[in-house]
Amino acid sequence: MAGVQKEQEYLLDVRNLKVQFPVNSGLFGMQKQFLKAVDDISFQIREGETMGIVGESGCGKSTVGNTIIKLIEPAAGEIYFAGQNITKMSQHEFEKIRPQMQMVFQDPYSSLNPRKKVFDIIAEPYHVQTKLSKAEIKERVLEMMSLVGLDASYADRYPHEFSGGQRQRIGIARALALHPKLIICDEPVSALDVSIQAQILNLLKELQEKLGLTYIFIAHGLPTVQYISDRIAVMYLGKMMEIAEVDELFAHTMHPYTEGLLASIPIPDPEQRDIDEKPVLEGDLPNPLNLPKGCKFCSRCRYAKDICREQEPELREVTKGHFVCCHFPLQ
Amino acid sequence: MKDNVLLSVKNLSVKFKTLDGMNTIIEGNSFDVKKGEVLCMVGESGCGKSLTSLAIMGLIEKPGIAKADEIMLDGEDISGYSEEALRKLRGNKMSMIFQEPLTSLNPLFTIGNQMDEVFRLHRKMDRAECRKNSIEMLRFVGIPAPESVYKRYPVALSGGMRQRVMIAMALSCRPKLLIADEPTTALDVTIQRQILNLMQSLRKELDTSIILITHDLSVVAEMADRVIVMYAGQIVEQADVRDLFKKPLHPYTEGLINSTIRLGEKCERLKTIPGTVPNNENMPKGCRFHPRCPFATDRCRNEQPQLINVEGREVRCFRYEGSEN
Amino acid sequence: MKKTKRFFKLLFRSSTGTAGVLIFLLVCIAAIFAEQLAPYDPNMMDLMNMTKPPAWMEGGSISHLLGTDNLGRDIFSRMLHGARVSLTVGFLATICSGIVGTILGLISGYFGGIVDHVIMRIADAFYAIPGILLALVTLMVVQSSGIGTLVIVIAAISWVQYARLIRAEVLRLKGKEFVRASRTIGASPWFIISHHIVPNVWPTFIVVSTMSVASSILTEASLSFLGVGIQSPLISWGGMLSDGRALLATHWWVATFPGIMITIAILGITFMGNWLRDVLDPHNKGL
Repeated sequence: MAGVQKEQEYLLDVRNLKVQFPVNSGLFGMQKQFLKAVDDISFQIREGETMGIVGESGCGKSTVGNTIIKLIEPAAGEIYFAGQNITKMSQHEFEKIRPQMQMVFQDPYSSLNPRKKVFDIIAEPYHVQTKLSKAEIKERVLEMMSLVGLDASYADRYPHEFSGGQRQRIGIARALALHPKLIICDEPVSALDVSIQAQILNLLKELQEKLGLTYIFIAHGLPTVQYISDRIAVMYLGKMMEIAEVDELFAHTMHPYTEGLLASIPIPDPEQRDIDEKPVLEGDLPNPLNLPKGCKFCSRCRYAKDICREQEPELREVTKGHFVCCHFPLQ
Repeated sequence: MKDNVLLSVKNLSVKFKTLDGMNTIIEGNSFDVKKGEVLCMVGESGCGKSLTSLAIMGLIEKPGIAKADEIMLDGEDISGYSEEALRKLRGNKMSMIFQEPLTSLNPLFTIGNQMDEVFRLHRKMDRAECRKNSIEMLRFVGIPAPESVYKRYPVALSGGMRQRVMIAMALSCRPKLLIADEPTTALDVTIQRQILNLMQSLRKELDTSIILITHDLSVVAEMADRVIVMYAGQIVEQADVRDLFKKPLHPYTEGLINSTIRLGEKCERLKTIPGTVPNNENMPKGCRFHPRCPFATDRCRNEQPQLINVEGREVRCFRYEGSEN
Repeated sequence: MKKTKRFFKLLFRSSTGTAGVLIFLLVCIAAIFAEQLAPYDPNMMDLMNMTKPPAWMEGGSISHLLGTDNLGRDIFSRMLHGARVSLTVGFLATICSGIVGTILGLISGYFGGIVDHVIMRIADAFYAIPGILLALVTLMVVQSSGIGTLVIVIAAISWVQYARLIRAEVLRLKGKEFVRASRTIGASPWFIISHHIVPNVWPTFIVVSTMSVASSILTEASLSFLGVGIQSPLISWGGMLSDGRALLATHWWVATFPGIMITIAILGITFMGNWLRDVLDPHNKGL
């Protein structure tokens, strides 16, 4: 059957995913409103690929990551991981799949328990998921530490003795412990210093080559995402606005929001600063509880026409592998 | 003092009293800010860039102690000023905006209330005048419908709008010096672009000198006239922005520029600076950058380099000895 | 070694902390070695030496350092033995309320929902009734006033503060990424509570406990003063205070010394608690 085959082609297949959060308002929270954090998004990831998800704060990119790993339950839609529908699974059934998906967190300070030694932090997955002996665990923890470039002598130290970059290495070692297939990196470098960001990004790339990992790389900074990703998905207010291969996205930007985003990024070269006037995205994000009718971006779009304010566009494939959610794609 | 210099800082140090004695965070830094220029201070966390700006404002609090031989602001030495004398200058001759526009505004008062305060304090204006001027300032920084924003509370505004309000407040008294401490770090890229453009245009209009503190070299490249690069509490390089990016002298500056990702440029591996920033408790002997420096020699490990003048710029590295002027 | 050194460094930097720890140690020594330290049997009546003033006053003698009460019992000896009862009640009540309150706080904070609601509403109910009144009524009704009953009654009115503080702390920790990280590797709630929550709640627990020892001692003293607490022949500071109340106008020392003792002990333990709170604060780098 063609359908079955298609499912197995991808490591991760997200279909029409919706996530809502209840928001209480009114006196005593009597009126229940729902914030559509993720609104009907679909995308697929092949094994060994890196998919970058970018967007500004509140666009729902972290919610997507948390939903895939089942920290948040979706309101609708399906997520297939290696051909299995994980949205239908109970937490108990999901436990068998869980080791194959791991997460690297943003804040290397709050993601490590301050009262545990480095060894115990990295050993935790083995204690929870396996029945290995003490000696076996020790061997594996040390192996993980050397894999991410941590000296074995650090095992007996506490997280507060380390800098942000080294803490992030500890977090990566913990994520790798159970040999996952998919790693969701939720802003893994945005809390780090510039010189350390480069180290961690290189490490993630190296590990991917060595271990054949698949990444979902969530970040707000396009430069970081474009360095590590094969494909990029641009999100705005819970919607996928554009999905394309990295080179394609830069060469043929189709969505006005992506265009604005690209133009907003400062260029690290003083010679270029006076060359062209950049199209600034005017205005702010609209209140997510009170979204404009039609296209969600129309309130800030300089190309918006009447239809954009009336009818919401759908994500469609314009050229091969290049998806865009716009009535009037650029170019 | 040269005529075109607005601020001149000589030998500024900041120390903190800790359990194990005095901890020197900033050591003997000297620099000038010219009239109408944008001076960027760039460096990684803990390099002392924010403390430097707080020291200029006289805002270092106990257990910290700031000392300087001289802080000349527009012809007066403010280094020995009392808290009261400094208060008259803050928000008036020099003002500051911070990273977090959310916490910098008091949530219990309206925007108008907080803006009027500045005019009342420094210009002794009456209510109607305050209001008129505040609304004028809000319009000036590009806030739509300033009359209605004037009456609103900070929670009702987005991060970008709050930062605009902060800028409006800081510029109310037409300060000669504006210190902006990571003003766009907490904002989204598209909003950052708006604020950066705003600061550029305000600067052209007002002729205010700006000290912009940031960790982002891209922001430096877009905003700065001159750049000070700080590492572990010391100035390691000082140069014109174009010179700095064209030919960085200090190995740290070079490393920083190389590890910055350029949009649309494909590369297999990023160039990195190995190792991590040292913490104050175990500062390396000799040059503070030597454990991470590809050119480190025995001399670097034992002896601290001084800032030297090279081709009209300053650099703290032994490699340029002999080429100084 | 380094840790002990750091401990003393932190201790000596704070004068109130030093005083608090010293007072606490002295009271503990008094309680433990009451038998050896006390010059007299605390219940021995000496009708020849009734209401003798302290040594430094006219008519006082060095043999009864702080004087005697109206039955000729040595006040100093009685105070040492009183320390034993007061501390025992204070510690036991703290342990009981600590265990109950902490467990309820952990459950309430971690699981939330209906369980949280029920536990917190019960806590609210306990909070709304003045504790001392509740204890007074209970003790009058049960008509038994051994140390055990007293401990249970005091614990019953003081578990609430544990439950509330621990719950707040758990809610804070639950939002931390390391708890989320543990969930992504499939750790069970029990594993997360025992490995991640409890070790981080520990400092709060210690601080609340010190404060609770102080307040339990005070509650015990109040109840004994009101006549429903510790009964003769057991000695407590509150009981001594009660005995001396009638003599206050003529023989002030009988009530004053136990009164001072209560104040000093409470103050000392509170100082120690405040110091611990500062030291265990992670922003302070901790011990």
